[in-house]
Amino acid sequence: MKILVTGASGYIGNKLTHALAERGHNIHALVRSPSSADLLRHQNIRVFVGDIMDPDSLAVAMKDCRQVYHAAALAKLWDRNRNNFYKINVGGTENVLQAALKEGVSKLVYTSSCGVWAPDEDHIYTENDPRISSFDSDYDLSKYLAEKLVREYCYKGLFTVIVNPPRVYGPGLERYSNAVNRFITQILNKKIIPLPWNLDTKANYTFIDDVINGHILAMEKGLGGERYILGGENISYKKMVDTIAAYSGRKPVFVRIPPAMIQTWAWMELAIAKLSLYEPSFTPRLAKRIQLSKMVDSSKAIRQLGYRITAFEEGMQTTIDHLKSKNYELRFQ
Amino acid sequence: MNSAFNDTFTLITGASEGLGKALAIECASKGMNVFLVALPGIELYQLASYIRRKYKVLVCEFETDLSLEMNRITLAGFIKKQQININMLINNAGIGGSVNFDECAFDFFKTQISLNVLATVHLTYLLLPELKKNSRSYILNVSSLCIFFYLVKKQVYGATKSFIHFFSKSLKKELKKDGVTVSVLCPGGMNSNPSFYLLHQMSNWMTRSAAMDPEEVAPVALNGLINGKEIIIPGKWNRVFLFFDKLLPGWLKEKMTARHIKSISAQQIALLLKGKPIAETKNAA
Repeated sequence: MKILVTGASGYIGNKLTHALAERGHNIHALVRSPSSADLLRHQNIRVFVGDIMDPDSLAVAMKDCRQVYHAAALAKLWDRNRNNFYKINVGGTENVLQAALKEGVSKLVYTSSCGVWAPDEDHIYTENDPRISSFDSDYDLSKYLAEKLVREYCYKGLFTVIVNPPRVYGPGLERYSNAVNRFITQILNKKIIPLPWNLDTKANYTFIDDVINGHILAMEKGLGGERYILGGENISYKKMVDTIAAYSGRKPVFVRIPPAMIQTWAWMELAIAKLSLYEPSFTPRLAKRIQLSKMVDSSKAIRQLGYRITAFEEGMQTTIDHLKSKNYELRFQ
Repeated sequence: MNSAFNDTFTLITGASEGLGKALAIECASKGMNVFLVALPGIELYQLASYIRRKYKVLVCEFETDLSLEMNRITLAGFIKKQQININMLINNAGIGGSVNFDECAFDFFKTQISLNVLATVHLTYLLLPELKKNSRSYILNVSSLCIFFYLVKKQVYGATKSFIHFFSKSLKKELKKDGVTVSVLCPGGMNSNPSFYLLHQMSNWMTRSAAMDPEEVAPVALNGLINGKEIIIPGKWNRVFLFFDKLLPGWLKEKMTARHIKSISAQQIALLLKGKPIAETKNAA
């Protein structure tokens, strides 16, 4: 069966492309740059150079495909031009949906995010929960609007399923969106690690292989117009750094930074970014968000799709071994 | 939580989005039961189930379009028949927006007046006997900060909100003897939905910093109401504007308000929300 994957040079998209190719499907991989072909060397993968912003290239790549995984997005904290988030994540998604409807694709899985929900100290989110507080990020809002579109197309006759992964970690390409791996790398390479003040703050961390399986299961068993959280365990910062320190054998000094200082630091980074070509590694809204808990519950995916969660310790062990074996260096600094 | 023993409800109109939603959550977090009224749609049910699970209070949801008189009568009839004890009424539902008077369909203004003015008056009228049954009860009407500024493109909207302001202040004096407290909320720009969020983000620095999130406004509003404040103006920036408004000369105010949201139209925001960049739509226009 021919399957299209958009964003095939991304962290999730690339792994997904390879996993599907391994299963013997013929994969059409959509990438923007011809150089990405190096990341997609497999007898079952055919690389299509194109762009979700270019409907013609989409139509070519989607020709004869029965299934579509739409994993392409502008997955960043900040962009010099905020319009890009809406242009690519909402407008681009509409292009993909339109092409899929025209091509008569039988099912489409859309990779959303847990950013569509707001942080909440004592609530565990499920798929049915509404957005509670206001949006503070263009990325989150663009994903929320794209989800709305994907559901709309369900009424137009396209079989669509949405998946919402939270913070993803694990072996894979080094991409900007891959923040947890970046944090582990810092622990492996640095002597002093800054941490938020409150180490009890919890977030959900999910292993990349689970997310990939979740995508494939959503395609097999997902119900139309529904969304599925592909989460892992809800883990506090304390447990996370303890686990990483234990499995990596490194003992950096952890420095807890008071909230006001984190915020000031973030504003300074943003000010520098606005005045120069430098891309901030940290923005005020990220600063706010990393200090708030967001917990999710994946039981709907477990119940309806047969989704499975890798234990946090096991996933971390694999990730740390991978990052160490690659003699990984800091590429994001 | 003592809600199981507490049989009074707070009725909130326009509860599925923006300030109404934030007020519903704020009330529930204080252990108050809520009766949510909103236009038909999945959002109302999502919110109701979230509140039930998180705050363990009683929640009623009622889908209706309050701009129609018949629906308001049905709603009041339902409350009476089901013997739901309402001790707080929050008239929040309303239609906002900035439009040029001669570029807008008349039907829009008609609906705006029906919902902002008639629904508030009618619902207050219909539910006042219910409110009076309690020894102490509350009405919160939502006006706007713009009633003090006479901004362009706000002709009908501002007039409906001025109506609410007068209505509330006068009614407050009248109902004092019955133990019914009336307050009027005058919030400034709020990020109540994605289009307002974008509108404020893309406006000048002053508008951007003064725009508040509904979840910041809701606690101020509820505290003000319970403490019997006549007029509630949330946000320090908004109070600063209002203070300066009294001091600044007319020509300067004219200049400042003329710059208000000058470059972005509602139409452009709508396009942006569909993923079309503003710059391109400008060229196309």
